[in-house]
Amino acid sequence: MSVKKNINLPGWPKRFFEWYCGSAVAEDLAGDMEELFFQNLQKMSPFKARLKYSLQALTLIFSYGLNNRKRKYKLQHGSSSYHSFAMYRSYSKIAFRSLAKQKTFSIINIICLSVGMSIGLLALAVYVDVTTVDDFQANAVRIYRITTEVDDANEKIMYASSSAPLADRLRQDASGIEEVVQIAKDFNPEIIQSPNTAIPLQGYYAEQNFFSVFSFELIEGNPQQALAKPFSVVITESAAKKLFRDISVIGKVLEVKDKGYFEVTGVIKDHPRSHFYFEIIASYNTIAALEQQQKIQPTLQDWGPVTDHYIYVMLNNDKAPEDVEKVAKRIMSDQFKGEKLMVTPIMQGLRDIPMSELSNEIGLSWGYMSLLIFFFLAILVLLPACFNYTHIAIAHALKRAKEIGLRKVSGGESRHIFFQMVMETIILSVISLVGAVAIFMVIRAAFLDMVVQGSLSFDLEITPFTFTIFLLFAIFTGFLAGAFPAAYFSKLNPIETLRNTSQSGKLSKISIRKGLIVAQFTLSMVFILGVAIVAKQYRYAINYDLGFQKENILDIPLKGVDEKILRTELEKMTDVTSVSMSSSIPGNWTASSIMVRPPEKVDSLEVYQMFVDHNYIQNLEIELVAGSNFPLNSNGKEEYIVVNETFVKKAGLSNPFDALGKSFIVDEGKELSVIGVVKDFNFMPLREAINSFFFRNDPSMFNFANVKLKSQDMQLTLSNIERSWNKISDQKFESRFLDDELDASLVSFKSMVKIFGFLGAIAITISCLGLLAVVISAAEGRLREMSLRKIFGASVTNLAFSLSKGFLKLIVIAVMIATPFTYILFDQFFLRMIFYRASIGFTEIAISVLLLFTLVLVIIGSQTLKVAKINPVDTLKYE
Amino acid sequence: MKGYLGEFEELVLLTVAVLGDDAYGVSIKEDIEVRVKRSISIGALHSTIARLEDKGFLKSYLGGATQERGGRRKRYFQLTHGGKSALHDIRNLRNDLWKKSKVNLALNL
Repeated sequence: MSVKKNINLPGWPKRFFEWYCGSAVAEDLAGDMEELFFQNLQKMSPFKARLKYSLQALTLIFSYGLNNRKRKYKLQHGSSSYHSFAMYRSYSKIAFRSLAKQKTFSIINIICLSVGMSIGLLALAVYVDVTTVDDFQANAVRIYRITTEVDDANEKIMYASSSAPLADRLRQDASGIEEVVQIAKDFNPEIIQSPNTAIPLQGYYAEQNFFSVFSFELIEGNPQQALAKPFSVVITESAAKKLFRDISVIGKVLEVKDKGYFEVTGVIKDHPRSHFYFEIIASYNTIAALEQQQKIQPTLQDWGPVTDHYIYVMLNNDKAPEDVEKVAKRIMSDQFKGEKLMVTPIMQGLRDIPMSELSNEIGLSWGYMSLLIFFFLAILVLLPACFNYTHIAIAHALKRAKEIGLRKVSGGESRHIFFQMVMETIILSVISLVGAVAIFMVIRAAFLDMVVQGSLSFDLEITPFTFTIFLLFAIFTGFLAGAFPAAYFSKLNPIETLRNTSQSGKLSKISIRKGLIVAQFTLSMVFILGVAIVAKQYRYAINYDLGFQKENILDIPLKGVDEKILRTELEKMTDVTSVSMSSSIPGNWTASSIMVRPPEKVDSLEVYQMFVDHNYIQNLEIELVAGSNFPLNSNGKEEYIVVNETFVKKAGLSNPFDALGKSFIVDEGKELSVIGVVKDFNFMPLREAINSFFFRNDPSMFNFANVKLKSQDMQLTLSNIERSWNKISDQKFESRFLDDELDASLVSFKSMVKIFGFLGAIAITISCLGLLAVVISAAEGRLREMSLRKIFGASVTNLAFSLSKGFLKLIVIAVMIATPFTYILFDQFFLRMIFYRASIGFTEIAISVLLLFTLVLVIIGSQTLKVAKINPVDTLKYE
Repeated sequence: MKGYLGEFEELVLLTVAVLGDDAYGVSIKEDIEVRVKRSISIGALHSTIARLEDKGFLKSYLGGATQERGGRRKRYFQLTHGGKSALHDIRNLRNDLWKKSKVNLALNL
């Protein structure tokens, strides 16, 4: 017997039996089985005994005996299904009472949760908006877009578009397709209103059946016929108002620059959010007509580039998209047989479009990744708020412990206590939802400003649906914050809590709380440092010596005005120092690149170019290192180029002087010789390294006049220039200072500073409030100790220090974790994207650390001093 | 007569009576198995006991903690007055039937 004692009962049948019995008294049954098991061990093999045990457990589980006991237990003890409503009411009453009892902490918790949830609400609202795009499309489940994957061995690119001829082949070859609609993207007409004004619109070309597939509603016109004839267009309600200030505009004729006359055949009611973005739609057969008139590049018959046409198919009800995809794949692979490219058509459901990230998207999509990042950030600020609740709740465990103990003694079970505590947190988080929605309303406006104009036309309205989601989110947050303390409370031992040995089990709690504080302050530190680093980058970029003069240069778009007339007009003015002409503005993305080769060689070089006049280099104070500037180009014939140093190097020449007089072939046949070499300057934003570049001298390419001003009163000078402009042109005068223009190109930095600043502010608010709560409760807990120490002669500073040092240690740990982490994050990832960047210096780190410590010291100091200054008599007299 | 007593129920009641102060799950099961020479499942046994308790023929109490059985307590069963009278009833019924039998039930071995 003694040998076999070591053999245990089979584990899971025992556990399962115990679980099944629940709270019903069944220990005698379990005992009977165990006794039988050990008896059986004498008679049979352990395996058989175990088997028998399991069978016994099973027969008991199905027996009347056990189930009867369970039923009786339920009748006696009233499980949740009996008195639930009364219990809920009691729980919520107690929850409100305990919230009201701890006003400071409740307010801190509500603020933290409101702030923490606000970003989550924003992310959810964006998610809801993205997922409800195209909700109004009645045929959405049947509509698929044919996207194209092009794999040229080097890289795979996914295009939203596909080859135009595929549409007709699908109509012939594939079965089960109800409609195939072809759409082409770049119908971006400039509608000529009067000889000098044109209104640009954005839109598509689309086939006649566009309106039978997509549920856009026409206010005017016949949806079946509107896009039937070439040169007919349908415009949206708002475009109609923009053009005519009216919406009954059927039959009106629009003059479109470079494309001819179009007749309006319909007006579309302004529609809810869609992945399409258009103000005007022209009939698809217009493309063929325009191709014939050679007004646009022919693409209709080309299988070649898959970038110009979009194909949507609407399937019959029971048709699987895979079948059509198969047919499309076969057609494409036949077409591209023997080529290096792998071109694969892929069917994409209409509802999947807004979340996808494809090249060449027809309208706008939000993308899956950015949504993920957004949710990540939301969780990053939500978690600290939940942590706060957790450690505030645990800090108050002692005050609640007696209540819990009493509840347990009078029959409360662990799960009841757990449920009560979680419900308390959920009530708190639902109250916080009010604050969170208020913050959400405020940041929504800022957010909408920040996202690229018109992207999916977010509105982020709070609909009943979004509100339900918000409420669920609040409940989820409540659960997240409350689960840990609730689990802790529900496990309290009633005897210990009632016996007044309140110190027991404190150790583990304290280390958890310390961990939470460190985590929060690490996060805050990451954000503070992030702001400091990005702000430094921004300052660096603004002050960077780009290699040309950017102050006091006014760029005026020519808008077709003759450059010579404008030049003479401007040069007459006293405030104008000099005038030059250029094709683009340096420092942003507008420089174009071409391929250039020396006459005797075959391999060519990619070079960025800019067309300027003889004054430009002087005007912008770009330094010439060799040769000379362009001569005054009187006959308009292009002969020379002025190259930069990088060009000299890339062309394989040893020094700038060697380059002078060398010829290069540009634009297929034009031979230009180098007349000068300029020092490298940043013609592209700082993100890019300086590349090969040259200036050319072709007056027909000029787009801007660059006017150097020297003026006491800029306002007056500008209005003078505008007056002279109005003499020579009916177009509206526009101008922009070069330095403003360059600052505007740094807008991404600015929004990054804003985002980081905002998130940082949130994280810091939450962590500081959390710290405040912890310090308050710690100080309260040590009130008596402090008073006694004071009696024995400790000074206020002594006391404040002994209270604070524990917290300061935690903050130091947080800083030590956060600093290297942030440094690596920014140095290795974010800043890698920028070629000319400021290094992260000691100053930023020092400033951030100082800032954090100041904040922390203010918080800790205010509380500890309060406690240290207290009169010992007040705290001790009630002893 | 207060309700029908099945064959197995009668067996259990009598066994509880036989075991006296030591009537709990395992001992009842073993006693029946030895006497009747058939194996009974613990589920069936406890179901019957539960029914007898419902009918008021048995009552139970928990014993003290034990060394074996993982410290679990035993539930001991006792006949109630109702149980005793049910046993009487069934015996009277049986005796009555024996007496009135027109066939000679003696085996004459």
